[in-house]
Amino acid sequence: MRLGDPVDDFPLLRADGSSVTLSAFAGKPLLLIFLRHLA
Amino acid sequence: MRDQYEEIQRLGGEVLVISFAQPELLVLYEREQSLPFPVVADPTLTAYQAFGLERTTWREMLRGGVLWRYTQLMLRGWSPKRMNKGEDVLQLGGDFVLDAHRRLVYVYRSAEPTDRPAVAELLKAIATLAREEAI
Repeated sequence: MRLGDPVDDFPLLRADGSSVTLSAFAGKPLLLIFLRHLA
Repeated sequence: MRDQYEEIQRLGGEVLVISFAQPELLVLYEREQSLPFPVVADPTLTAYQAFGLERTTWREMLRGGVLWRYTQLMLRGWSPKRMNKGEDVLQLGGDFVLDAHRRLVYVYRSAEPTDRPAVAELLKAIATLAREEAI
């Protein structure tokens, strides 16, 4: 994935286990922080 | 990032934290951290892999530079915590900025476990994007 590429609408899970996709957070500049761990 | 969240919102941005932990662990994390932004799980690592976030190696983890940076973090008050079940100590993280149309405009893949972008750099990417989208 390179700069300028559109990002797929990845499936994710909320803390309650329900499904959500990345597009639910789209519509404005979005900073994605991928964690290494929950410490 | 919690401290800069207001600034990100002022610029019209949003923050989404992604973990590969199981969702039930996110409940505890959200409660502990009281984060103002959403945290979601990618336990299958689908998004991690698509964004090119790789696993490091024990050899890399034990390199002098990495150990030194962990020592510096500990001297600044950080203390290592036990990994949760299912977490992978070798998985690397990263930071990305997407525009309103889900296009990738900023990429930072951590080269090793302590490697993260400067918060100022992230704010700059969001501010630049906000300016461009306002035109």
